[in-house]
Amino acid sequence: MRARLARAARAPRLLASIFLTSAQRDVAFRGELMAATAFTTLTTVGTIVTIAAVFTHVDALAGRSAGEAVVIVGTFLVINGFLSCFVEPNVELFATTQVLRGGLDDVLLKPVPSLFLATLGKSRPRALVDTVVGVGVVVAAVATGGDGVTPAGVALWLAMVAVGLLVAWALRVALAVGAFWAPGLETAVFFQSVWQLGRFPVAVYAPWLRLLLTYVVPMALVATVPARALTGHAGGAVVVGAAGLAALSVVVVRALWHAGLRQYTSATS
Amino acid sequence: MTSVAEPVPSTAPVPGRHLRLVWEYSRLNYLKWLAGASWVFTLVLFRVVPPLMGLAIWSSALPGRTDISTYFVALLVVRLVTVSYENHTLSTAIFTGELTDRILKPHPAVLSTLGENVAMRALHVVLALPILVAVALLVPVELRAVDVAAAVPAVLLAAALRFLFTYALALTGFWTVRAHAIVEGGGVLALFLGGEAAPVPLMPDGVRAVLEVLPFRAMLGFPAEVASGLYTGSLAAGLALQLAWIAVFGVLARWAWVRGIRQYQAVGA
Repeated sequence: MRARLARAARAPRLLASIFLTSAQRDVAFRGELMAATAFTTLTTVGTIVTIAAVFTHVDALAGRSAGEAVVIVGTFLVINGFLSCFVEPNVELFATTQVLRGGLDDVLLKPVPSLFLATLGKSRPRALVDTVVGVGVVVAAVATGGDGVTPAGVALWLAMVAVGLLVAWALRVALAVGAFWAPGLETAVFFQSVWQLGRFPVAVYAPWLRLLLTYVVPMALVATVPARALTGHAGGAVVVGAAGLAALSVVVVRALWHAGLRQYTSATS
Repeated sequence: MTSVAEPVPSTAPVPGRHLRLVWEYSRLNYLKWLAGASWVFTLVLFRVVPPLMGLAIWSSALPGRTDISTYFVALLVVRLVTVSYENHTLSTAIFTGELTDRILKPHPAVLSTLGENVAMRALHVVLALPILVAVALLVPVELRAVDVAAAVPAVLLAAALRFLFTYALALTGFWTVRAHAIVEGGGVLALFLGGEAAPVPLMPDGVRAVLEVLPFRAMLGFPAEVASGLYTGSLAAGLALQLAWIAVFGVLARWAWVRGIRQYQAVGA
């Protein structure tokens, strides 16, 4: 137990080292960083122009104001940036390189929790461009129209973003872990399709989808709930519920991971 | 020892030979990708989600308008029929040197790329049929036979235009390793400026005037607008614009191919 706790305590330092090493490597490819920046800027401008187009016709989109919709886009980008930086490089080819070809053996033999190394062992720091742009978008939205934003709201937003990060990690890893039972089926494209749903207020979707995205596949926790927290519309119950759901998703993912590992028999399965 | 002279195959142009070659390549690639149908299905989902998101957003903003919901359902079909992955087929072939294989064959190299493209589109439509049926049943769709008939040439021209557009962008692979990013960027432009995120008729006036002239709407939103009745201009003018852009990208692709192949060195840019 103490050994386990000691290993877990090393995780933040390990993550920092992984990040810094990857950053050193990424800095050598400045062209990639410029391409990533251009792409994110293009997509963000496009999304905001779409929202602007919607709001030339109406004053509220499913009860949300234009500012709140833009905050959702910004928050989504913040979390997307972290996900693309810390998690995506590890799981994008999980099914083929790790499970099917036995790359997981390397991970399992290291003296680090396997779930940590398999999902956070590599970083792609240039993807943090998304986070930077996202923060910029949120700040701009608040600066131009944020009457209801208080320091408490900002603190709550930060807390909900952390919760959203946990949920995003859990969703991505839960999907990737399916590779243990369906070897070779890459889930990166499927995840991206569902992930895009978080870009807009969950309230625009049909009621059944809204329920699905709030309680079963908690995409709502990724961007909609933090945005509500920032504008002061999220009550204590929502915050506590969100934190609870995040904790639950981490537990579920850990269980899935260990169940998957029991199935795993290296490259000759 | 007598030797029987092998009849030398005639190199005289046979009418319809190119068409037959494209058909053979399509058949070959269709069967090849059918084997990986579960993965192609994830690609289908990736293509299907943005129009459905657009549907959710605009139905939420402007409820009760069947022309808008019909537009997005038609857009779904158009998107599947115009799907183009030349950055993955052609650009990758350039980078890995596999292009050599293609240019050594006794027919223009574009035929194999065209065959792959047609096969992918056919497979997308086939795999998406359950989704299309479900969407047509659940979403209020109002189609007039005359609109659908008018949309058929528009869809065919849009399919040709999208292919030439993506093909021309993919040819940048002769000069830069960032061909994937360039093609993805083109795809993002088509998404936002072509009517997938927001129907062009619903864009603000100044923006709409520009978008109506650009190729993106011609390759994506225009056929859907015609089919749903959102298009209020002259059909002949719309089709003429599509033909004009086809000519532009056709010339561009040809120019890029001739310049690029001259400096192709069998193992990438």
